[in-house]
Amino acid sequence: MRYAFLVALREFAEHTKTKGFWIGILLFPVLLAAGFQVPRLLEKYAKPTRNFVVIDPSGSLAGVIDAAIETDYQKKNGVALLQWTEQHKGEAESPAYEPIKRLYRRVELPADLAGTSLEETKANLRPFLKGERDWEVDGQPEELFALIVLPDHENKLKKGVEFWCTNLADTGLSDIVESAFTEHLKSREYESKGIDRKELERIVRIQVELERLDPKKAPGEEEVSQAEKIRQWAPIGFVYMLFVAIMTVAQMLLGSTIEEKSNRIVEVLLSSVTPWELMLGKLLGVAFVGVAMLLAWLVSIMAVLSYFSGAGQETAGILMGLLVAPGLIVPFAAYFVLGYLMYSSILLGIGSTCTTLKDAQNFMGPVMTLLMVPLFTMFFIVQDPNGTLATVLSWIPIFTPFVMMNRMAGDPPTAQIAGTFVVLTISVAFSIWFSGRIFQNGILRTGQPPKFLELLKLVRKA
Amino acid sequence: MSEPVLRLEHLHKRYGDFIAVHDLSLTVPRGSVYGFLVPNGAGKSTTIRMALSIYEPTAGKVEILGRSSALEVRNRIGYLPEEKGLYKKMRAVEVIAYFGMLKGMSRADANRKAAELLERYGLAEKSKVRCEALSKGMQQKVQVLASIVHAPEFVILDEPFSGLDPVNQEVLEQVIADLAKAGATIVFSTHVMEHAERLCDRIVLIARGRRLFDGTLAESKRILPRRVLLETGAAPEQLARLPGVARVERTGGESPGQSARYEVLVSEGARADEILSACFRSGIELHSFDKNDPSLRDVFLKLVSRAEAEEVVA
Repeated sequence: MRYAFLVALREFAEHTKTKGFWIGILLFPVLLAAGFQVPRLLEKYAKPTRNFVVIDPSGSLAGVIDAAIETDYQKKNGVALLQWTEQHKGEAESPAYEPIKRLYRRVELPADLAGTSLEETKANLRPFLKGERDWEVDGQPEELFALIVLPDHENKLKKGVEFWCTNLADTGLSDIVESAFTEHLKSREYESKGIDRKELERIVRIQVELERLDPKKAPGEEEVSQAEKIRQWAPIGFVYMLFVAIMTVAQMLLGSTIEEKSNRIVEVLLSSVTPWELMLGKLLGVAFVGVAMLLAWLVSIMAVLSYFSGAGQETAGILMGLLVAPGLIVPFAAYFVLGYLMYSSILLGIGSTCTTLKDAQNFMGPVMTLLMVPLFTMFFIVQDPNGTLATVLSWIPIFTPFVMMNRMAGDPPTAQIAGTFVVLTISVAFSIWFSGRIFQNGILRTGQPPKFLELLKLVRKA
Repeated sequence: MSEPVLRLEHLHKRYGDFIAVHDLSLTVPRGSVYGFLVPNGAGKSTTIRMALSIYEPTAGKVEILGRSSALEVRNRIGYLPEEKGLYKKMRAVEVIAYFGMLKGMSRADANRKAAELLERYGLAEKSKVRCEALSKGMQQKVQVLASIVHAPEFVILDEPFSGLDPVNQEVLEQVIADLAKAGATIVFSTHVMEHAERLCDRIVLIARGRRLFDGTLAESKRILPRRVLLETGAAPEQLARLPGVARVERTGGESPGQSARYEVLVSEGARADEILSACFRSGIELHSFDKNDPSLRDVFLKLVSRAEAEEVVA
C-alpha cells in the first residue's frame, strides 16, 4: 500500500504542477463572475444608442412614440436607481447616482434627404439603413437603426405602420412602437364607447392563481417557492460539473498511463511495484487531482455567489443555500467518487493496452458516445425526475452517477437510491477488477492495440 | 560457497505457438559480474522479466535471492530494462529519488543518495534539470543511477551500454566496477563483446531461447581450439610433425623456403608453450610467436552459428 501511495503522490504532483491545471482552476471563477457581471455591463455600456427616423405625414402621431420611449426610459431608470440605493444602503459617503444611458433616440430627417415623394425619401434612406452610409448625429458618424413610416391618419394605424430595420434580433424599439400604438388605439376606442378605462383594466387583470403545493412537504410548508423551483433545476449544474470533472481527470489518467507505456518507464516500475499497486496508485493519485479541482471550483463558486448575493440578486443567495445544504452536495461527492472510479478504471484498462494516444482515442470513441446520453437527457430528467426514462437509465451503472444526480431534487424513492447505489458499487468493483486484469497483461504489451476479443483473452489470461 | 543470487531451472516461456525461452537453466553465483550474451530476439528480455516475476514462466522454476518470487525481495534488486524511459517533466534528482523510494528508501535518504550519485558520476549540475531537457546519453546515465540508487545486492542491467558514447561507456564501466567492489552481483547483457571481456567474471550465452554456454570467461575460450600464430622459414610439414600441433594453416607471407606466417591449431590437452619449446628442440627458427587466445567474439559467433546449424538439421 505504501508503494501505491508513492505512485499516487507522484501522479498528483505531476498533474498539479502543470500550468494548464492552474489556469483551468483559476479560469473557472473568472468565467463564473463574468457570467454574472458581463450581461449587466453590456447593457450598461456596450449596447449602442439606437437612432431612428420617423416620417409622420399626419404630424400628430410621432408624439405617441416619443411619449412611449420616455416612459420606457423612466421605468428602467427607476429600477436602476432602486438597485443603486440598495447597493449603497448604509454607506456614509456614496458616489452620486448616474442615470442610465438612453437607448433610443429619434433623429430628425434632414431636408436634403427628404424627397419629393414618400417613395423617394425611403429610397434616399436605404443606404443608411443598410449600414452603407453613416448618419450624422451632433457631428458624430452613427448608425441609423430604423425608419418608422406612419400613415397619414390615425384610422389607418392598425395596418399602416411600416418599420424598416435590418436588425431582426433587437426587438426593443419595435416592441415599444407596437405597444404604444396599440394602447393609443385602445384608449381611443374606450373613449368613443364611453368605457371607464381604469375599471376595465382592473377587470382585465383578474387572474386565478394556483397555489402550488408539494404533498411531500410537512403540513404548513407545502408552498412551492422560487427557491424550490431553482432547487429543481440545480442538479443540472451538478451533473454538468460531474461530467466535466470525471472526463477531465479520466483523460489525465489515460494520458499518464500512455506516457509511462510509450516511454517504457513502466517496466522499471513493475520491477518495483506490482501492476495492482501501480494501477491503484494511479487511480488514487488522479482522484486526488479531481478532488482538488472540484474543491477549488466549489469554493470559487461559493465565493462568487456570496459576492453577488449581497448585491440584490436573490438567485445567487438561493444557489448558495443549495450548495451548502447536504441534500445535493453529499450525493454529488459520492457519485463523483464512484463515477470517477468506474470511468477511469475503464480508461486505464484501455490505456494499458495501447502504445500511443491515437490508438487509445479509437477506443475512447464509443465510451464518449455513451457518456453523451446523460447529457442529452439532462433536461428531460429534471422535468420528469421519476419518469420511466429516468428510472430506466438510473439502473444502468455507467449512467447511474449522472442520472441519479440529475434526479436528486425530485426526491426519488429511497429504494431506488439504495438499489442503484448498490448496483453501481458492485459494477465499480467489477470494472476495477476487470480493468486490473487487462492492465496486468496489457501494460507491457507493445505494438498494435488488441481487438475487442483479444481484450477478453487478456482478462482470462491474468 | 554461499547461495546463488539467481537460479533458473528448466524455464520455459511460450506465447501461443511461439517458444520464447526453451528449457533454460542457469545459476548466477553471488559476487560475480555476469555477462548475458544473447543475440537479438533470443529470449533475453523474456528471461529477465521471468527472473524478476514480471512475467510468469510457462514452466520451470525461478529462485532469486533465495525466494521464489522477485516481488518478495524487490527492494534488494536493481533493474535497468533494455527499453529505457524517464518521466519527462520530472527533474533528474527527483526521478532517481522516486525510484529509490519505490525500493523502500525514506524520502530523505533517497534525495541525499540521488544527489550523491549525480555528483559522483559527473551530473551534479544537471540534477535540477527536467529529464526532457537532458541529452539521450545523460538520460541513460540517470536511468542507470535510478536503478542502483537503493544500493541493491543484485543488479540486472539490460543493454546498459547501448546508445552511449565512448566517454560515457567508460563512466558506466566505472559504475559497474564500483558496484562489484561494493559486493553487488551484477548481470548485464550486451552485444559488445569487448565490454563483456573487460568486465565479466562469468558469461552465459543464449540463442534461440536455449543456453549454449555458462561458465567463466576462461572456460568459454576453451571452447574454441587454441591457436598460435607464428612466422618462420621452416616448411609447414615440419611444423605439422611437432607434438601438440593439430593442424597448420598458412595465413600469408613469402613463398616456401622463405619466412611465412602460419596459424597453428593446438591439439586438445596440449599447451601453446609446449609448441614453442618443441620448435626450439627441432631447431626451427621462429621470427615471431604469438599465443593468440580466441576472443569472446569468436566464441560467440562460433557457438551461435553452431546452434543455428543444429537447429536447421533438427
